[in-house]
Amino acid sequence: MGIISRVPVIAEKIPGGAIVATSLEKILNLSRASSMWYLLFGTACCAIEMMCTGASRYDFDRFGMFFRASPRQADLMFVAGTITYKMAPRVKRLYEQMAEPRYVIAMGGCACNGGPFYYDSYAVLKGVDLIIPVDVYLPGCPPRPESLMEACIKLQEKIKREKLQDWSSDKRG
Amino acid sequence: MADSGTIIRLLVEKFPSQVEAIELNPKQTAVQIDPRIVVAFFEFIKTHPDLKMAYLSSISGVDMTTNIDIVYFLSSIEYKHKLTVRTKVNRKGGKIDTISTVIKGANWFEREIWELFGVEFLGHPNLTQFLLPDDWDEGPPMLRDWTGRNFVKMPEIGG
Repeated sequence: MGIISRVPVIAEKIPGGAIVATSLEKILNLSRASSMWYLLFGTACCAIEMMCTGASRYDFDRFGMFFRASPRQADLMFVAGTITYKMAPRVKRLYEQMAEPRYVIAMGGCACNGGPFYYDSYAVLKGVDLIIPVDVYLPGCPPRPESLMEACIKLQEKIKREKLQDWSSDKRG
Repeated sequence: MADSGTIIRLLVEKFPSQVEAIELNPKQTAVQIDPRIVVAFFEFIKTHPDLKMAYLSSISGVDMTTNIDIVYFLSSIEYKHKLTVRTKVNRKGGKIDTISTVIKGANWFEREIWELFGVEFLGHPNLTQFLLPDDWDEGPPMLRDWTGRNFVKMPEIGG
């Protein structure tokens, strides 16, 4: 594996090259990380920050990220807001309808662990990781758009580290 | 627009022993009424030509630990005056007549209070669950001493 992992570093240094020799793993990871289309889904005030991040001032488009209104076309789900026990089965269903590979960012305190509704609440799910696997936890109430972009960059780094042999559905939720 | 003194005078004249003034603030006149007269009371304030309280903003339930207070918030579109009506029911197995026969908008508010506080509204046309999850089996959750499977009590701070 020594030579394979060094090849892209050599190849990318060729100036103005039309042909780039690289590994399948790297090119697929780069494609996935550079066009994460997210599900247009928000349940509380975090969704306002998510909309703001998608709009022109913060401009998610430069990461290659667009909202998709259907889970069938989405790669990434922001759980933006409070998830109640009544909402939880619907979130799970939306996640299951997304095509693999799929990623989840738990945005805000409510999605991470129940947040301000952890105590004395009969209705709020104590963390979305109880029902679906979460890749990045983003605290804040609600997090600012900069934080959300930071979370997306972290997720891109995570995707770029993925190995070919891990791409089976039983290992990756 | 009738001021709070006039509103209270009209109500006490009509229901002398069952109505009691508890707040005279002109922006939030409030009366305490006997729960047995709710239907007649709302019929009266809705149809009286000087009151015309036909708009029901909300109905609240309050767990006072000794009983449950049902609080009705009314206003008049025509005269721009407001009235708050409080009444008491038992904490366990409380029953009160529905006012959705007089004011149709009370229907969903009463369903909500039935669901969250367990107060039964007699004569309600459709007293069925609609806010809590479909498989809910833990009783009315808004009572102060309620606990459930996933309920975490706020720990005492300091002490």
